[in-house]
Amino acid sequence: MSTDRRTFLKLSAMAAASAAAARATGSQAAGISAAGISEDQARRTGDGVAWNKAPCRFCGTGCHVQVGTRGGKVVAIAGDQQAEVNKGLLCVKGYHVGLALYGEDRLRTPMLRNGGELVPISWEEAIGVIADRIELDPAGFAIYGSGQWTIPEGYANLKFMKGGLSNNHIDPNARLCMASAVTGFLATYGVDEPAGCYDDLDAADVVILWGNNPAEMHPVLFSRLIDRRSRGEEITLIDIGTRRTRSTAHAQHYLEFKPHSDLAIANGIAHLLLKNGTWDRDFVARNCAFRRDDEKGTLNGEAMSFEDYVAALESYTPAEVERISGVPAEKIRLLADLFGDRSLRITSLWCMGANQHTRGTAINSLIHGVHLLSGHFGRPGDAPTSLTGQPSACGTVREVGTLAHTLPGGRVVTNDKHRQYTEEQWRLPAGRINPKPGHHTVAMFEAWSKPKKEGGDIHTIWVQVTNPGQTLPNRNLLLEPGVKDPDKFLICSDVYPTATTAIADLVLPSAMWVEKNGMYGNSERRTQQWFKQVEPPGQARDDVWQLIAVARELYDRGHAGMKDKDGRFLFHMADAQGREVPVWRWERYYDINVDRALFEEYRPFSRLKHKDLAPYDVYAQARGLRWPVVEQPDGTWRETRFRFAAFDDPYVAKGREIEFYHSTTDDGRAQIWFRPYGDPPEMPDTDFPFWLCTGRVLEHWHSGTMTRRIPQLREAMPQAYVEMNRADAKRLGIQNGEQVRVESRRGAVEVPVWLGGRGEPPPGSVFVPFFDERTPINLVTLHLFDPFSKQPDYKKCAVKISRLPPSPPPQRPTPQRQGA
Amino acid sequence: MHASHSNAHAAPLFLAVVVTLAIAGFLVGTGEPPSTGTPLVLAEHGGEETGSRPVPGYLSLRDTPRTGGAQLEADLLRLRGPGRLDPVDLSGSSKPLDLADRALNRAYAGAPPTIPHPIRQDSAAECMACHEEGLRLREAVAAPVPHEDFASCTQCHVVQEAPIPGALIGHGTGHNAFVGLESPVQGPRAWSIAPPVTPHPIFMREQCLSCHGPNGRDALRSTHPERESCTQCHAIQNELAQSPLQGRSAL
Amino acid sequence: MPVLSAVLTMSPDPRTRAELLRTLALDPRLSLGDPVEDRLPLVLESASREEDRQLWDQVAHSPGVVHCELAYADFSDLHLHPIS
Repeated sequence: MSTDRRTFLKLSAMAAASAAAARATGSQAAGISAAGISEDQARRTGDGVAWNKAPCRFCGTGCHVQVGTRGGKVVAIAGDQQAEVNKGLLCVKGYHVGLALYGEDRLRTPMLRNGGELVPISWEEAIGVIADRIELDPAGFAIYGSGQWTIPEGYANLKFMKGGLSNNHIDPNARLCMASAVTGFLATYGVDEPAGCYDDLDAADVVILWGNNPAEMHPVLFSRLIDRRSRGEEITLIDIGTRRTRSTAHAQHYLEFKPHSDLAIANGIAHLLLKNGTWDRDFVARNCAFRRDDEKGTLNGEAMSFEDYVAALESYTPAEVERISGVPAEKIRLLADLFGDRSLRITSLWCMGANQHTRGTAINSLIHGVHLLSGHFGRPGDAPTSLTGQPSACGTVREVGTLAHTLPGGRVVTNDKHRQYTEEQWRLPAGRINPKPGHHTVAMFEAWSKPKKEGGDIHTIWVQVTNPGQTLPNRNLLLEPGVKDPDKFLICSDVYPTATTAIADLVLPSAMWVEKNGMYGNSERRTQQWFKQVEPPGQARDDVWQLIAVARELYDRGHAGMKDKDGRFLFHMADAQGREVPVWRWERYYDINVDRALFEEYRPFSRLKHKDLAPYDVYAQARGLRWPVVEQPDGTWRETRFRFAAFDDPYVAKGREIEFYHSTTDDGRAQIWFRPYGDPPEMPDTDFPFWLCTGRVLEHWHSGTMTRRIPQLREAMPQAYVEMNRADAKRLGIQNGEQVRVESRRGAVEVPVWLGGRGEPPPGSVFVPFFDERTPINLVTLHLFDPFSKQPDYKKCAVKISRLPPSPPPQRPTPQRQGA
Repeated sequence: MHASHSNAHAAPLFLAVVVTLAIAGFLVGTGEPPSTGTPLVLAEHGGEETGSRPVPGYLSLRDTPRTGGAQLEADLLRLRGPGRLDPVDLSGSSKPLDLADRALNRAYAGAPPTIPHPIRQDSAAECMACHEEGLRLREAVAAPVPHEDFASCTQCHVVQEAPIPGALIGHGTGHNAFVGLESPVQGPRAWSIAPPVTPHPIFMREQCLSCHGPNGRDALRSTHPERESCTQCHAIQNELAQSPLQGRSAL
Repeated sequence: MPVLSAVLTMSPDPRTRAELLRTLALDPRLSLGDPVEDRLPLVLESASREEDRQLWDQVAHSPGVVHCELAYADFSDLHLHPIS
């Protein structure tokens, strides 16, 4: 044997032993800390790639990515190591977000439907068509937007509709997503959005998932939590769910409840806290009051005494809760014991399970109530934290207020002072803003799908950055009649062909993500900013430009609403020298930073609810900041992590530990609600014996229009399926992989059965993801909604599962004889 | 096969199988008591192609004379391919192929690789059985994870082939024109024999031996895997695929 | 010629440990790696199968060795030059 070879063998042997010795302690044999890397690194690296920041395009977590561009294209993505949210890590969607720009079927030109076909037209024609539809009847025009609107996009649309057209028919898809979270926060604290933040996940001893599967839906938050275990920390993870998921695999306790009975579980915890005397008397005495629904059904309800509260909960004994929910009584006691222990830090997480619920406001307020009653609030790790599904459901929809009843900064159209302030800020003549709330989402599409003579008062909807053709519930009721009605017109701005562009009369190609400037606001009150980094394809243009171009067209046609009280254009913008810039002309649109101008105009609105925003330029230099962002004497801007807690929130009055300074009762108190359990509007019966739950999967985001065009994600999860319990499948004689029909009273889809896959529903329950437009499960779902939030319930309705008649055996092609 | 070829070719192959078996023995536990005189458990003849065989422990391998039977010869033939102890190829000739092979399951240089085998869909609990220490089983290499232990493996790594049975309707969406950043080929050297600078960011790739260790692809393997402090000699070039905290001006 | 490597778990007693390291370092057939806490990686080199067996047993039974685990083994020469 040669000396070289022998030396090599010895080196290999030593490497193996050293690695084994090192790994036993978990030490990093060749570990290199990311710390100490200077912030002055050149942005352009040796391989010619320029790197810049952007928040991820997908979910509400709000990870920052680093976007690598070269030659005008995105070529790579990296986790942003300076981002507090994700600390350099991403999920598989985030790592592949750059590919979302490059599906070959990107929309590149405006198209108008003509004789059933979409025919390319010019932008000028397209803008003219929209102006025509508005002039036809401005009050019957509606905009349906999204929690994926950037903050400036949402603000511009809101100003255009409510300030320009005096029309409140603007609502976002977030109505289908977090409206019940909003009403839950408002009813409890008098102001929207979580008090805690993601830092709670680093400090909590116990984390409770209320109908939530963050392992797939908020993966970076989930790993931020469970990776603490790799560092030797102990976390108790409790999954309260209706099916086993990837999150369940990491949980110590899985509490499987019957759909809708989460209300009984929350009440059962409160019952035991009172019975055991483990509720936090001091905290409640200082900071809380009790509340129940009133006869008029107002969001704020009526006060109730503590004695009435105790009496109302009397019946929610562990045994009774077990009867309603199916969760064993001792597990209810386990939850109550944890909440009864003030030495623990407890964080609750929830998302669509609690929100897409015909009692969504109720379960949201009950989760807050359990935390308040037990005093698990206001310390790091002690927080009821609602998660959002869209990147700017908070920043745009909830803060800007792109809902049918709201004005910017937590204001409402029904409040005289709020309208007056808004009109002043927008330099509008007094009385311009309509005091009557517009149609919420379901009502908007009902009105569009109802003939005009029958009272269907919406003739045109402009859909932006969302896909109602796939995501509205009960599509046969809310969309199909409008599609067939020649009086109705649908406009859709999007980046790919979707189930909505397929039925739209006018399709506009949009720029997406880093093809434009943008700002998002994530689930933890963090406002984020990014710059345009590449050009959009073909004639695709920014959504804000599309809106301003329409506004200018109306202005040019003499529409009075497009002028302020001095006769200036509603979207008047000027350069640094004060000269007006014609941003409605595309070639001039980027002469100034329109996002910055809109954001600076919007910023003063944020003060009313103490959601103070910093100047645009401050966000340009940060990886997002959590509001209230308060200017310090030295001119710096300080973000707030824990709201209502004196140690961190500058707006808490001196001398108070906790203050709910937007209390609905004006006394600094939050409301602990009593909300009784009641059966859901539709339950399985003999004809439709299964519960249907719908939702997302890790690989796909929302309706899949972006992620289904990313090969890595598409290959891993190519199509929708129905998950069912093995016992049910066996009983029905259904094989794994067999195509079946999932049918409700409203519609049906055919999908293959996947047994023992991602999740496992209990007997009598099935799950279908909604990402696949070829199997639109929302033909099946229920359109009934929560009475306060108007948010529909996508998580439960009754279906039947049927086997399909055997199809004829595939015809074997007859072999063709060569050279006969 | 000619006998004269047998020895010359069999050496590295035999080595591979022995090492594999020895390491497998190590993984399943080496605490077995000495069992002197136990014959080698590899079958002399026959044996199902796909059947499993008992794994010999180190001691039985140590104490048993090794004479390859027909089955062993057959095994050895099947095991042809780069062995972990083959000399490192410094010529660079295999590098383009190795890098291309590595790029097959990555969208761009730095992307998390997709998974080339089926996995359990409901839990990531089993991943680390192979990927913690890393192992080589015949042609297949399970690379040890190059980053610190994250428990939610499937957060970033997805399978290449859909696990859904009965997926009949195809993918339904077309081509994607994304062109990913190519893998760097060679880090620059300060002078001709200076240690090369790392040509890629090392964040999430802190365990250099995952790719550059004995089980790495030929052209990526280090000639000196025993020197553990890689960055002592190899400076990090583009430490970050990151922009500075101070963004560019707003206007 | 066999080349093996192993991870020794050493006695927590500092004096025993120091003596063990000193003894092992004296044997030219052994190459010691950098200890990690109480674990010592080392390479064992020997000229024959008999010597390999003897060396392994000697190391494994040295005073101060709590446990000895194999990490790597190479017997390639043995195949080429079978011992009769």
